[in-house]
Formats: sequence, C-alpha cells, structure tokens
Amino acid sequence: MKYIILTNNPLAEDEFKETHDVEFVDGKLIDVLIKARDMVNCGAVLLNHPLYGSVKPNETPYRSLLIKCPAEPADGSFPAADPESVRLIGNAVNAFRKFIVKKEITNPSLLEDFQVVDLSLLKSAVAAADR
Amino acid sequence: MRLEIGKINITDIRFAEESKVEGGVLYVNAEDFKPVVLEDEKIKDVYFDIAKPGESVRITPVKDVIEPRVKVEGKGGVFPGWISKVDTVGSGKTLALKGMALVTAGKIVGFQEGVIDMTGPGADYTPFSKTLNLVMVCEPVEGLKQHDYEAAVRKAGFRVAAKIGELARGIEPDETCVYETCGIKEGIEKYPDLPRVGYVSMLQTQGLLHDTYVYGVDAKQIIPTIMSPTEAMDGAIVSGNCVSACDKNPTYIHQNNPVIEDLFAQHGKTINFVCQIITNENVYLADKERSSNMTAKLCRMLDLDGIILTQEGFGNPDTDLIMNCKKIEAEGVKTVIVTDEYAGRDGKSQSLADADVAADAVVTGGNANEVIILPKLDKVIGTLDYINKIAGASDKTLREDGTLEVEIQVITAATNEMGFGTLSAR
Repeated sequence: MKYIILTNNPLAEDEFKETHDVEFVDGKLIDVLIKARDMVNCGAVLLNHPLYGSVKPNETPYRSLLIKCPAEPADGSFPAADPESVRLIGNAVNAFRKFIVKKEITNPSLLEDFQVVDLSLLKSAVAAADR
Repeated sequence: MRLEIGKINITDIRFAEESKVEGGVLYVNAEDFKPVVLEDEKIKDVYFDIAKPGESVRITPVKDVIEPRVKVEGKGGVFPGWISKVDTVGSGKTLALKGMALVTAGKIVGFQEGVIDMTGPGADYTPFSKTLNLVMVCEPVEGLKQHDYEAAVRKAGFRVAAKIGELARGIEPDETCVYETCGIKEGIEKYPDLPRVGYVSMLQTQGLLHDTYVYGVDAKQIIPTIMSPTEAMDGAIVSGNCVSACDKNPTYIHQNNPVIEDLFAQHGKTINFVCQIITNENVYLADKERSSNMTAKLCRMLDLDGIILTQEGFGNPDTDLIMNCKKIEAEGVKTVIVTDEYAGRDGKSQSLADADVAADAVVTGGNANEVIILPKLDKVIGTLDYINKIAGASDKTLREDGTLEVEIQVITAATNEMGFGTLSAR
C-alpha cells in the first residue's frame, strides 16, 4: 500500500527515509496534526490513530502519522474526504488544544526519550501497514 | 473452571537473615533476591527497600506493582509464559500474599512512571499506599536501550514476585475464596433466568513500552479471544507498559481485577458471569476495526445480554472504547463503560477523545487533570530526578519548598480504569 509518513520526529525521519516516503515537518506536534488535517480534508486517509501513545499531546513534542494519499478521480473532480479520518483528526486537534501547553522541552535526554517512544509506536503502525 | 484463592494476610515486612513467611510477617534477606534480578545481564544493580502505610515515604518512578502468588494445586504455575510453562491456568488452588505488593521502580523513560506516597494527600489517591510495599529499584547497564530496560525490569519483577510467592507454599491461608465459572450449556441450564454477562477488557497494546502480554504473547498480535476470568488471577495477563501512572493497569490489578471480583460476587445471584473477552488497543486503524468487529461478534455468539467494558490509557484507546461500545450495543448487548477522564484542570473539557450516543452508561474513575499539591516527604525510594518530567508534571512541579504541584495522573492507579482507584462522588 502506498502511504507517506508525516513526522516532526528526526529519529523517525532517519529510520524510514531510505525505505519509505517521509514528509518531514519542521515544526511542532500541532503543525503535524494541522498538516494532516489539511491532507485529510483533501481526501487523504489516516492509517494510524493521531492520539497514539498515552503520552499526552502537550507532553510529547513529536507526532508521526501514516497517511494514504487519495487516488485522483478520473473525471478530474476532488476526491471525497474520508469521514472517519475527518472525525479522528478533528478530535485530535481539539484534544491537543484543550490541554495547557507547557514550556518547550529542551532537555536533550528527555527529547531523545520522546523521540524513541514516538519511533517505537510509529514502528508498530508501519509493521501493520507493510504486512 | 474453579479456582481457590487462599489468602495469607501479611501484616509486616522486615529485612532478616532468613527469607520466610511466618506468623503473617514476610521476612526478606535481600541477598536471596539480588541474584534473581541480576541473572539478567542488562541490570547492573538492584536494591530493595520497604515502604509501609503511614510512613513519610515517596516511591518514584514506579514501573509495575505485583502481588506475590504461588500455585499449589492444579495445572500450570504463576505468570505463564514468563515464569511457568504455558499450561492453561485459572483452576486448582493459588495462594496469595495479601496486604503487600512488590513495587518495581527505576527510570525507564524520563516521563512515564508513577508516584506512590505512603502518607499525606497523595496517599488517598493510590491504593498502593495501603499495602506494605517491598520496593525493588533497578539500575541498567550503561547504554541499554529503553525498551530492553523495560523488558528486563518487567521480567525481573515477575521472577522476584514468584520467588516471594514460593515462600508461602505450605502455609495455611487465613481465608479462602472460591471462583467458579460454568461451561456455556451448563450456565444456561443452571441459571436459566439470569442475564448472561461478560467482561470485555481492552489491553494496552500500542507498541514498545506500551504493551500487555497474555501467556507471554504480545497482545497487539492477538485477535480478541475468550478467557476464564480466573486465568488473570494466576498472572496470565501482565503489564509491560510505561503509560501514564493514573490509568495504567499494573499487573497487581490484573491479578485482583475489581470488575472480575464484583461480577463473581453477583454470579449465580443476579447475573450469570459467562467469561472475560480480551481485546487490544493497537495504533493502526484497521487493527482497531478488526478487533472491535471480532469483540462484537464474540459477544453475539455467546448470546450475552450485557457486558462491562474497560480500557487502559487515554486518546488512542478512547477510539477502541467507542468502537467496541458502538458495535457491541449494535448487536443488542447492553454495554457499560468504565473509563477515566481528561477533562482539563477545570474539569470543563470533553472527557474522552471520542464519543458516541451508544455510550450511554459510563462509570468514571475520575479526572486525571485534577491538580494536587503533594507535601515534601522525609524519604524518597527511587529518585526525584525525573519528577518534573513524568506525565502530569511540569517544569514547575518541584517547588522551592520541596512540595510538588502535579496533576493526579502522576499517581499510580489514581483514576484506574478498571475501577481499582479510590475516587468517588459519594
């Protein structure tokens, strides 16, 4: 199945850039969610849950999403949006916004821990998508 | 299946020359247990400490909590797939050391472990302030990857718990409880007028550091299946995750699942408790669809009238929760959800990340975002180095006067989603 990995996690980019289609977002977690929401609104389908990981969205700075790009309809019209993807990404953006955003995390060892956990959860999604 | 749980009440834990259980006291010679931990070369060092209810002690970062048990009659042994072979457990007789717990602690990842306060306001929120705790603090070898460290500490916890459990072999229990389920046909004949009730438990299975194991199998690889509710009492389901402390289900709570306890208490009286159905909480959306389809199908095929549905975690699992609820209700099976809430610090936000009109019967374990000030305690078992980093804490957590300002999500089992917590509106 053809999909892209949308991520702001540099470790995830390193891990998958040789084998998968990776779109790196140079930004915050919310930027990944909003980029994904834009894609979903144009017919893309989410393959993993945008609120994966019990690390709450305002606590981890990273997010990696698997997104299946829509086939262009032959008649040149816009592809229809996938209602379930629209609902999930909308809920995720709302869930993120309801939490108080804390001070930016700068501790390198903590950032590495967050990257590792994000990558490990991404790997379970990739394993499922590639089987 | 019929399982007897013989309860041996432990009233004190003391360090001593000889490790034994005698007169309700667990005597521990730490030197007997160190080699059991250190047989895994991934662990560099370990120390044991004791924390008792009411003491000015804070345990953090907590990884798992385990109740020592030993199987004395019937097939198999405790923690099948880890300590014992994979014989089907849940029948015969098991002895449990009640009133105590083995707590594993140590830094795995910098932000995902819990706090147990043995006194003060924090103690009111965790059930493990009421147990005598033998704490095992592990230190990994240099450069060990986080998921290897998690696995090492997890397995070391089971080995130590099993060895403590062995100390109880041959001891006469203070009390014996009997749990018995019927076969499908037998249950229908025996309780023709009672509603058939099942328990659907969702296991945390999002990936490394977020996994639960069933008979040694990573549960994200399973499709939903039926278990006797007594199997979990022998350690067939174990925690392998580092999710938020307040709503993670430590192994202890799988062994002492309050939903199973309460359903058994009504079994044969107001309901016919048919079985436990286990399912998962994978991150991949197609997995969620498949698993919830299977769960709903099992409920229908078992002709259940109602189920209790519990989850573990927040966010991603909320979608599984709602999918399960919707599809099971659509099969005509009444569904009651047990969850907790992330309703914001003021409690005014949407509680779950997903919702549906079919979710019209919900029991809550509390709002994990509620803020609490924890006083400075005299002693810390583990380390406070990570207290600013765990889920529910912030850079302001450790205040100048030594008190902690945290959301209750840092407290182990504070809003437990199997209902093991102590929060109540009563």
